[in-house]
Amino acid sequence: MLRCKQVSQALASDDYWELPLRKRIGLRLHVFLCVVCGPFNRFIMLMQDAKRHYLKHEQEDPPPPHLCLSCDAKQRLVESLNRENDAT
Amino acid sequence: MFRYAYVRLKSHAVAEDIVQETFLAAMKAKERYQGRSSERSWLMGILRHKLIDYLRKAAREVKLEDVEPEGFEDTLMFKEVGVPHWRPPKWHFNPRKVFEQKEFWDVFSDCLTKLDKRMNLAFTMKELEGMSTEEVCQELGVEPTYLWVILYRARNGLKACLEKNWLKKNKGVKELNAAV
Ligand SMILES: [Zn+2]
Repeated sequence: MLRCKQVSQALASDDYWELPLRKRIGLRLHVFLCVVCGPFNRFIMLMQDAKRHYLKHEQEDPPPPHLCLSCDAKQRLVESLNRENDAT
Repeated sequence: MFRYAYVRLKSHAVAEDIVQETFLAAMKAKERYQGRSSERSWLMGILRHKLIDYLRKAAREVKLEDVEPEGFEDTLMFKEVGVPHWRPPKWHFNPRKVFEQKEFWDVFSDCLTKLDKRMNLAFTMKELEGMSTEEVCQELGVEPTYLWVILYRARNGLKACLEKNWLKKNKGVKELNAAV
């Protein structure tokens, strides 16, 4: 059986999804059963899951309007690219 | 691309610059692009490269100007078990259910940009860009336990922001539905 400290260390240094399956199962089991470090490490695991979901969303779904490049900024971008093109 | 840069850099102007630099660099390196990967992932590769350079520079500045905040690594509980003695806050909704909703992730990206500079840098480098603990510690000039404290605070801050803004957003939607 893993000790609390080992679990905390594993969760502190790495995203638990990157660990080998065996270790992952051990961690999950400990974290779900342990009354000492469980609440705390469940939170860490949850936030690591959240981050993974977010990165996936970022890859797959279009950004909301307020996180898109504004029309002005697009215009500036095109202009600078054109300038660069003319120069070469 | 702009969202990617903005969420990680927190500044419209810098994010815009980096996107522009990426396109310029891509134009110069056109010949080297051999179509092995999709154009999008090629551009994203250049963007990430520039972004990490920028984060490194920003980390160096933070390192100089910031003082060490008090940590919780000296509590007995932390020494024995590796967790602080207080409990993480409870959620007012089921987070795992909310993960299924696309709108939640837009709130998430907004909350990422609201973290304070040091937390944002640590979280971005370690969690979003997947840099190693050693690398991030080196860039920020902190010990691993200390990085861990910063990351914990970042997660906590993120959680508080998510909760507040997600509930607000949902309340708005419900009121709208009731009015219609
Ligand atoms: Zn435990």
